[in-house]
Amino acid sequence: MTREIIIKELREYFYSTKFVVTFLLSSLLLLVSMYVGIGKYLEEEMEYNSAQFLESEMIESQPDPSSLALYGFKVYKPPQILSIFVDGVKDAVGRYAEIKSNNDPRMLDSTFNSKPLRSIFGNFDLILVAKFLLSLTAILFTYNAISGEKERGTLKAIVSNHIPRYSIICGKILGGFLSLIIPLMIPLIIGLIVLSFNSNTILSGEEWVRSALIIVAILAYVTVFYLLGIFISSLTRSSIESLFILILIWIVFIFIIPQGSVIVAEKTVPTRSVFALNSLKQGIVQEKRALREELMRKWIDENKPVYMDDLNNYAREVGQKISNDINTRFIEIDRDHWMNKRKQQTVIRIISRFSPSSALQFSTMSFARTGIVEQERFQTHVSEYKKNFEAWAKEKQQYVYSDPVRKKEKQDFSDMPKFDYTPESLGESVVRALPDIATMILMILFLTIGSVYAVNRYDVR
Amino acid sequence: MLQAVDLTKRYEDGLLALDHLSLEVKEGGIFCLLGANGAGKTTTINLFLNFIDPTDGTAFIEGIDVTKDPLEAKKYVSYVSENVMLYGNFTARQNLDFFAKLGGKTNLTKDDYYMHMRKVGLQEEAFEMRLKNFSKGMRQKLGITIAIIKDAPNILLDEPTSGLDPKAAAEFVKILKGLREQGKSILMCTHDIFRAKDIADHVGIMKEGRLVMVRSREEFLEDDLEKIYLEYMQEAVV
Repeated sequence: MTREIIIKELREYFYSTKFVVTFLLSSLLLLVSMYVGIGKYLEEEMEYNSAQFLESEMIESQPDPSSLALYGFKVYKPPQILSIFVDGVKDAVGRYAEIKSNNDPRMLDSTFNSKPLRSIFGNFDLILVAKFLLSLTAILFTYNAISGEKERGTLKAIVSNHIPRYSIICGKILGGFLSLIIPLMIPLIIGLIVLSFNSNTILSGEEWVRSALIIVAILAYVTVFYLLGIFISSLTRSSIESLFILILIWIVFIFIIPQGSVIVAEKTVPTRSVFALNSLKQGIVQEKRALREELMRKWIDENKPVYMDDLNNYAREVGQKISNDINTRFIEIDRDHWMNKRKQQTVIRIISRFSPSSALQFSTMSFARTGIVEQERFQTHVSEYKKNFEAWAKEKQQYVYSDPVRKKEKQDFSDMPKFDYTPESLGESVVRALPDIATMILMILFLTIGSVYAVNRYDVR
Repeated sequence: MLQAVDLTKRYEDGLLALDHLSLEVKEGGIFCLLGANGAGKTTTINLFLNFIDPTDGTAFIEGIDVTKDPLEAKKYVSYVSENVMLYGNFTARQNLDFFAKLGGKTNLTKDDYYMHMRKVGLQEEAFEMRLKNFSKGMRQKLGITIAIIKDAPNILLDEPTSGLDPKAAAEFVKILKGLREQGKSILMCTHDIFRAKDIADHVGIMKEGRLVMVRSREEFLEDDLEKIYLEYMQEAVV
């Protein structure tokens, strides 16, 4: 019996205009999003390679390690190939960090900064298409699944036969789901085939697994909205009522919960802006400079006549102490700022997880390695690298300056530590995405059970 | 055989839609339920189909308690509604195929469907026509075809001739007579006294949820059924 309902559903959808429209629209948008993604990735890859080359030439041209440390150099974040599917936050944060003495290696020059037009409407990627188009399509496929059958009178005709109601709803769920997934999967598979044949975008085995996980997350997301449509449809007596409720829920899931979570996080865990942070640090520097001058004046008053050697020694001693104090305060400020940002992220993740849209965004960013965590990971790598570089520069400088002949020679930087960035492993990404995927699976289970229960009690008259 | 014993339905808002209705439709019998809108005719059909649960009493189909074992009971009954609204994007044959399979007839061929559609008087060109292009008469004929294909011993009809032109209604009645000859038990709710008089073995008049009068064919042919009906309806107004 369930089989008959599945076949009927497939037939009904395949004959309908909405199937044709869905197929054409989703094919167009999914393929265009992948085409745009591939184009952007290749552009980033080219920019990355050129920048790396220019940077290595700049490093080679430096007279000695201390000049290199003083003027600084850049380490670039390698583009992630899976940003073809999920842009994440990569365009909003910097593309490189500057390794420079007395400078925090902060991420600089975001894509949005250099290409502000892209920030007007945000990025056009597969996840954007999934979040808006696919969720809406799923709703439009199912808003009249049960209430529409009731309105047409066909539900009575079906139920008057010896078919259990759970068979009807299972058949409708499975048949409708296949009808929805087929027009979505065909362009996705075509896109993946095109990607696999493109010699400039070669995916490793792990990246194929990650791509598959992204598609699984998208399917879970579409399923949530699909079942939501069936559930609401089986609770309402008219299709219009069902559609109205679904559109409201869609707005809550897509806009209100994600945006609301950001507002709540910012209100409950306030953090300083970059400007406020710099002002605070600037204030500390000025305060410490004033203290240094006061200490120096006091020392001069107490140690007359002043001998230059003693003065220099004291100045160095005070300078070192003040510098250490400043560094300690800066570290404290940065740590507090970082911890508050972490708290904000936690609040956002907890609140927004109630929305499948956020769960999709977070999980796919984890799989594609284009999320905030990946940026922080890069920054941590850069900070670690800076320490290694400074240790190397100090040692190398001593080595170079210990020999006057060596000092005049062109310096060899081949032993300079290489910046080696290891992105998050697949296991780590999966563990991080697990709560989001689990949220969507729980929603799927709840909506399936809810739909079966509601259809069992549905008044077919 | 269809049987209702003290069948009662009171809705949650307190409305008594059906008040201790008892009736029996024997093999090869046609029982027509007459009555004004809201008299309880459709409620009776809904209770036989287990679309709603009775507050009291029992509906039996072939001796099976509909409330206790609705799925088993539904094996033995076909249903034709006032407006047969099937799947508009499907052809007549595709609709038949779907409902025949739901009714347990899985081995029928295209020719079998054509044969049944011919029997009820559907034109050949309508067989592969999408249902959205069907007239009401054609849809009702297709609805009765579904009931015929299921070949259940009992048929429930809810205002099947309502809105049909006289020719189509006459054709429909002819089909019902054929089904009676095959031994089917038919319970038909209708406003159409003339059709009821034409085909019914028993006629019942319903008023405010109660079956206020039952006459056998012999009895109502002697009496003026229309006059009796109007008298009951007037009493209802008073």
